[in-house]
Amino acid sequence: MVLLTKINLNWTERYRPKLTNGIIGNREQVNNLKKFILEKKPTILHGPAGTGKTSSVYALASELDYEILEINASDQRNKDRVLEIVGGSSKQMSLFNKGKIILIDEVDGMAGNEDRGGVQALSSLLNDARHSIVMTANDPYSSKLVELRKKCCMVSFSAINTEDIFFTLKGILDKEGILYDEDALRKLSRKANGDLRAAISDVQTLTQGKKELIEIDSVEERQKEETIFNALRTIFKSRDYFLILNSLENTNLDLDECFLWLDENLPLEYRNSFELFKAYEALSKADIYKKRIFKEQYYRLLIYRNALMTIGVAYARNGNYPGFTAYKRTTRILKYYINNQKNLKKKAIAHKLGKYTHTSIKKTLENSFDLLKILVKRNIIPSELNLDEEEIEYIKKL
Amino acid sequence: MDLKESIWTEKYRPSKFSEIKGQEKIVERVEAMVKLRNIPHLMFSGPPGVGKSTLAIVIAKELYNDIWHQNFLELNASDDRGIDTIRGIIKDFARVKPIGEHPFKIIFLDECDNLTKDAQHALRRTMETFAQTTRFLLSCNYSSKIIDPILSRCTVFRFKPLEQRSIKEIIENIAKKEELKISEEGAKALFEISEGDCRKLENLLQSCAAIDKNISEDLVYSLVSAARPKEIKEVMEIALAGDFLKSREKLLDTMLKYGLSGLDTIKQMQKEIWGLSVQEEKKVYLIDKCGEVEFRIVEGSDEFVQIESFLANLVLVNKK
Repeated sequence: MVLLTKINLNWTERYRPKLTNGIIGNREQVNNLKKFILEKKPTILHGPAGTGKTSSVYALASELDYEILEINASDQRNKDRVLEIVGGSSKQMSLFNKGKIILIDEVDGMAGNEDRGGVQALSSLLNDARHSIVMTANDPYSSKLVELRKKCCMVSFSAINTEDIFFTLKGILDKEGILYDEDALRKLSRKANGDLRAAISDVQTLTQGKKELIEIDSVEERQKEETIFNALRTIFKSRDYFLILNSLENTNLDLDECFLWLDENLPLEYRNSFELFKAYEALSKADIYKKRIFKEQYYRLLIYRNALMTIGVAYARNGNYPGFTAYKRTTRILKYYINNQKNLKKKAIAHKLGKYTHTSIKKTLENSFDLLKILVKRNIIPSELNLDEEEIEYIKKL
Repeated sequence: MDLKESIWTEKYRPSKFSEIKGQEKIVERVEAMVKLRNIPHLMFSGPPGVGKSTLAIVIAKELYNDIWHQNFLELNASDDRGIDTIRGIIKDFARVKPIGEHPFKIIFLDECDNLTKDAQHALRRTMETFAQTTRFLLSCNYSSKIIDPILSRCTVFRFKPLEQRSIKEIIENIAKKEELKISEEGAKALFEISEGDCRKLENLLQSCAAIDKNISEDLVYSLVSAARPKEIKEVMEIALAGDFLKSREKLLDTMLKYGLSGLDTIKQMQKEIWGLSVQEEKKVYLIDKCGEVEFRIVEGSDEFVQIESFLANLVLVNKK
């Protein structure tokens, strides 16, 4: 993977709490977790995304001076790998005689061929572990986790309330020296729906390269962008099959617009040329489905178009690209429009020429316009076209 | 200022069956129908510039003589977008009885393959409604894009690119009338570039003649390459060097600046492949990919994304 010379640090990383008193909300849950870690009881933290599950583990580790061994979703987690990493280290003492926490992120995401046997292997290790094993999951009642659930303590994290999100965002913006409009910030906090990470990400996106967060002229427009930002982040960064597959449905943009967003921002994220190639292959095929749906009026094909745009693009990459990317709106369509306006005169002339030569405007522009240019520039004006002075001048200037 | 000058594709457009070059079998059969003064609905399918519109116009001229304009309606499906517009115009035209002692009028609908499936079904109903008083002549580049119910109502004629023999006759005829001197190599170049497309040939020939009445191979090629912006090759080279973002930016600027369509662009990219500094076997790989992209531009809807996928191929090919 190519590393960028300068990685913009993600605010969600920069402002990850160092100690447990920095954790927003879920106070009781954090205390329970601390108890379980000290008692070396295997624990599953569950709850919605962005509520501080992983952050709590890190904050506790630094408070207790424990080491953390993290296995997250971007690592391969099949049976052998789990036995090797968790199995090996869970029986070893830490190098400096410190306590050790083995953190397995998104355990409900362990699935598919790559992670075959991973959950079972993990389950068998829990009994004789000498260290604390903490797992996180979005959906603890996933059928994959039945075995694990029986052996673990469950800690349930709940969504962060809007007021807490609001004050957290305020704190961050103050530290970054960015001015803000309180109403805009409050709206943003509400929109996050209890997901603090998404809220921080959104604020970073909206203030990227700016010195203030102001009431955006059209709230509607901004909300659209917020959701498309989330969807892009899901497609470009996560590996959760269903989350990715449904990501575009949750935006209030239609697929055509999403397609343009994907196209514009894909090369900003995918820096490995093979992955970029594979992702464009998926987009290219999605585009062909669009035409087929239109031509045949057969709308079931939308499923394939959506799949190629989401998981098709997401699984073109093997790993993850670190760092924060400010997603941009496409300017291509606007440029087409401006260019079209500029070319209206040209089209009007092509229409005259086309009517006379029995061809469409499009084919005239492709085939015959250059001839007209050559003739007119040499003052040879075909009289049948009835070109007026203005049109003749226009052609001469081309 | 020479006011008499006109566009050669019109000046030299045949107006009788006997003047049409090439497509002999088709012309022969159509002429026989016209002699009986009864024609079925016709579908002309084939590449551009091979005589589809010409034959349609000749049919009208031979049937109606002086009043052919009144009994003949020409529409282009790719200009007069939307079947509703087309239906409206057709209705107005077909409602009025043919001028003179003629049993039917003719509606010539060009580039039918640009109509959606739904529009084609609507067209089929329109064809049935007015079958008593009108005959439809339809033309398209790809008959595979036309729905079966329309094809089955038409007699289908498949046009082929003009042969070298016919192209030669056309060139000689024009050279004589316009007092041009065309070298043998020049004529060969004209034939090769025109790819059997008479419209392209005559446009190119007239462009050459406007510059110099002595037409050499060099003159022909200089005009063709003038129509081919050098930026396209630069776009490809930037991609080969690994800078996708920069090459895509330049691609968009170039396409907008020259008004190039996706097809224009990919066709030129194909021609530039052999001149790129990559290994020969990689060029073969690129040719294959290029063909796939050209196909997908025809099949897809966002030509820019299709070309971007080719740029991604170029970035990749130098990394392997």
